[in-house]
This record gives sequence, structure tokens and C-alpha cells, in this order.
Amino acid sequence: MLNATADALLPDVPVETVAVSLPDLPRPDEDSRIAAEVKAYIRDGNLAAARDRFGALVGRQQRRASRIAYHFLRDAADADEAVQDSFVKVFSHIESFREDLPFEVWFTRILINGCLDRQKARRRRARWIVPAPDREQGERAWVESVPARGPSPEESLLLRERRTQIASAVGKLPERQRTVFLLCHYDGCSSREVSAITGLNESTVRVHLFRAVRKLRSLLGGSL
Amino acid sequence: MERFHPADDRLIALYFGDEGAGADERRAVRQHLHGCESCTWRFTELTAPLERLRQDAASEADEVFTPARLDAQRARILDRLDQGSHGSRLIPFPASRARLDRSVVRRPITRWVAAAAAAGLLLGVMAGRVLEFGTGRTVAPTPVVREARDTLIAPRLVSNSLMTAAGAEYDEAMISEIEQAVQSQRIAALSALDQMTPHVRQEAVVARVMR
Repeated sequence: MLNATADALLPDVPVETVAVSLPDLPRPDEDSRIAAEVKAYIRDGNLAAARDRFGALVGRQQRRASRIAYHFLRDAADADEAVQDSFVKVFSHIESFREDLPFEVWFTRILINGCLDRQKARRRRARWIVPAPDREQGERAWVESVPARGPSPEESLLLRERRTQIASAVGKLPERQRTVFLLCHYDGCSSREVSAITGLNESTVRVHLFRAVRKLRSLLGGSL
Repeated sequence: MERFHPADDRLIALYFGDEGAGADERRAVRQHLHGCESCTWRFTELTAPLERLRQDAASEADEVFTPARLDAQRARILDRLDQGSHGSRLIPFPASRARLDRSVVRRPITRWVAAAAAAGLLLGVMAGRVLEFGTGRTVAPTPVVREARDTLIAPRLVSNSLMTAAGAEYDEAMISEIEQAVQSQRIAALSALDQMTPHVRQEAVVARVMR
């Protein structure tokens, strides 16, 4: 089942039933139409056509998905894998997609479940394994040492520090607050959409959002 | 205009496009903002950093996920679909699936047994050490151990002591050791083979004469 890995954030509410209780969700869009086509092709056994159409769907959603995963995981490679896994999962479970509902909500739900699972696995690993030096950071440091036309080294350093501070502050939020904040603020989801994605009540979503903003302001002080 | 100034949460809700509040309420807050300078300033103060944060977050992610990286990601996803990858799975080899399942179920028990055995061994060794230390008693070597010690360790000790003696004494002792070794029965049996084998010393003499 798709929601087999759902944790406390996404309680035992089947994917299909979440949106049923929210009839005011945006009408199915182009992505939903493409997903419906993929589903039909698979049903007809035309896997090549299904793959082609799914490629188009990936192209439309992957930038947004990568942003969300990156803000959740704060690691490019991890985010990349989470996005890949989510799309593969969507394709293999496309039969359970309901054409009359927005594909984006369904997909985001799967993606966030994957990200949360990865975060848990990372915490488990961190308890037992001493982290090795970050190769990517090293490469990035080398790339940044090469003169470029972009911002000055001081500006880059300040920007990086600020981003680290923000990421650290967002990371300190409780899981639900963080999820709601990332979806509402970074992804621009409405509280209704976040409610459909997370399975939380709409008013609960708003409460989590305000608490998250308040906590971030106290953590970041003058920066926010 | 609203009678009371809207709270921070209301202003933040307005920024996030809060659909929870009624349309009338939202309209009233907006109208209030148009007429109240301090609330407009407060709204800007509250939301401008949030907006900066959002834009910065988007640009940060876009710096990491360049178009080339997204293309590669898409290609990998399609590759995985082609391979029919549905995540990692265990392949029961060479045992049958039933046996594999059973071993998986029994695994925690065997792990406990192994852990208990290791702990018991460790406790036993430690207890032995403690008892030995407490009584100050040493274990007497058995005759076999004593004999082995005399034959194996003693010559080495003799050789070591000879190394510290004067050079001539050391050389003589070493030569006599070699002679004794050559005359021993086992070495004598190999003397025929030794004669058939060219020696380095002889070869060196021949080479010198040829030169």
C-alpha cells in the first residue's frame, strides 16, 4: 500500500479517502490528466506509451519535488534519491490514483512520506555511525575557491552562513510544524492543500503554521 | 476600518492567503491595512523577511538542482522504470523461500543466544582472572609444557646470550652449532641432495676464474 510508510504526521488515512473529505480542492489539472493517461496505458498493457507520458509528468513535477525534498532533507544526494523513489513509487502504484483528484496532492503526500522515512533512517544511522567527511562539501569548497563572476567571497560566505542558520532553525521545528511551514511557505500550498497532503485538519494546519513562524522568529531574531 | 488592530497572526494569515477566515473578515483586515499606517508597517515588518526567506530558499534549491541535474534525475527515473525497479528485495539463494523466511524469523533468537554465550565467556574469563589475582597463586606447568619450554625456548636464550659475548666466542659457538646441526641424522639424509645442488660459494669462485 502506498501509505504503508506513513508516520504520525500522516495517520492511518488512506490516500484515496483524504481528498474525498475535501471537495473544495482545486479541480484536477493538466498533471492529473497526464496521470490518468498513464494509468489508462498501463491498464491497456501499453507500457512504452505509459513510460513516455510519465516522463512528461516527471518533467513537470520534478523541480518542485526536488525543492521540497531538498528543504526537508538538506542534502542534495538524499533529496535526489527521495524524488526518484517517489516517482518510481507513483508509477508502480498509479492504479490507485483517482483521476478526479489533483495529482499534485497525491504525489506530494508520497514524496513527504519518503522524506520523513529518510530523515528517520538518517537519525538512526547518526546514532551508530560516525559521519565521514562530506565529499560533496569538499568538491563545493574547491569549486568555490575558483574565481568566478558571481558574488564576492564575503557575500557568498554571509549567504551561506545565513542559509545554514535558517536551515538549522527550520530543523529545530517539531516535525508537523516543519512540514506545514515548508509546504505553505516554500511550496506555496494553501492550508487546504496542506490539509489534504498531511491528513491534518485545516485549522490544525493554520495553528502549526503560526507556531512555526513564531518559533522561527524567536530562533532567528533579527533575521526574520 | 476595523475597530481593533489585527493581531500578528491575522496579518501572517493574510500573507499566507488564509482561506480559513471568512471573506468578510479578510476584506476588513485589508481595508484596515489601507487606512492604518502602523499596521501596514507591522505587516511589512512581519512578512518581508518571510518573503526574503522564501525567495532565498527557492534560489538555494535551484542552485543545487540545475537543469542538467534535473535532466539526469529524469533519465535515472526512466531507467529505473525500464528495469522494473520496485526497490531492493531479498533473493532466496540457495535456500528456498520458506527456509529463508524461517531463518529470518529465528534470527533474533540466535542473536540472543550468541550474545548470551559471549557474555558468559567474558564473565568466566574475568572471574578466573579475579580469582587468580586474589589468591596470588600461579599455575604449575605440566610436564609436556615444561619439556616444550626447555627444548624450544632455551636454545634461543643461549643464542641470545651468545650474541652479547665477545665476537670470537660468538663465531665459534655459532660454527659449532652449525656443525652439530649438519651432523644430525635428519640433515645427513639430505646431504646427497646438497651435493647435487650448486652452491653459491662455488659458483662465485667459478665466475671469478672465468673472468
